[in-house]
Amino acid sequence: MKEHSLITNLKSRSEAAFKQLVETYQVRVYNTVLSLVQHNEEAEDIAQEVFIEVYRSIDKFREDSSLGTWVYRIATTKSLEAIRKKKAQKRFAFISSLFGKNDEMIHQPTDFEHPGVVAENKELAQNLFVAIGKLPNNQRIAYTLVNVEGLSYVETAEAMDITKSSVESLIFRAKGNLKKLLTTYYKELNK
Amino acid sequence: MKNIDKQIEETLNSLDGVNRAEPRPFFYTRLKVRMENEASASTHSVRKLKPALLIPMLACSLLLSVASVYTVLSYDTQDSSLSSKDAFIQEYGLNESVDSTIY
Repeated sequence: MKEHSLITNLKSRSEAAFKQLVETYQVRVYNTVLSLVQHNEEAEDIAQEVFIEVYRSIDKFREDSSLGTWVYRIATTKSLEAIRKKKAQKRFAFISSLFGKNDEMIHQPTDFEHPGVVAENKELAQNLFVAIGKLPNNQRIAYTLVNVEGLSYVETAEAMDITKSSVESLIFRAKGNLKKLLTTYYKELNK
Repeated sequence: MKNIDKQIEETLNSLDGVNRAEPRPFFYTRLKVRMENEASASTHSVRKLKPALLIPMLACSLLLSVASVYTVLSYDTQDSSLSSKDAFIQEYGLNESVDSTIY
């Protein structure tokens, strides 16, 4: 099924078309979301939300970009929403703890292991993911899409709805920030 | 410092050749179940909303009735007070005296 006819069938609420969409994009969506939120169960939950959103808003899709790019855009937006929500929950939990409330700890993904990383790099990749998690949102998305998801700068630009040069700039700044964060981390570690 | 530079370089390269992570099997099935559950939950919430809407609507109409009865009654009271005022004016001939002053 070509992309245009897939979109047409999705707009007419064909279940077969929706199944095909999910089967085509589930790995890409899950991988992107997982790399951004750094939590397996949460990633599955958000990946499901991405497809529900695609199903609900397919009528608004005007085919200015490819379907894949649009799906990536929804995936990054949903992931960012989840990250913001989690940060707000952490702030609330912190304030509650100041007032002596016994709230459950909000999950802090400091030991995230990406299942696709080769065994000998596991520990280093863990450190890198911690550092990626500290980047500003745009740098975090650009770096993840390029270095984890393997998108080109052009594809990343389309997914983020920015220019290719903006992506280059974001990646450059992300690498600089990662070096700074890792320098601090390894200096502390080697003391 | 050289050691740290090397560690950083290795860390930044640790994602080279990373494979894509895959969701657990039967992702589509779980997604469909969730969508069906959400759809039925929204239908139930509409049903649940009906009495929730009816009660405020009844309360509003009751309030409106009370308010209109009160308005009518107070209008009557005003009317009756006006008529007693007229009666007072007539009784003491106040209108006449004003008229006589003018003409």
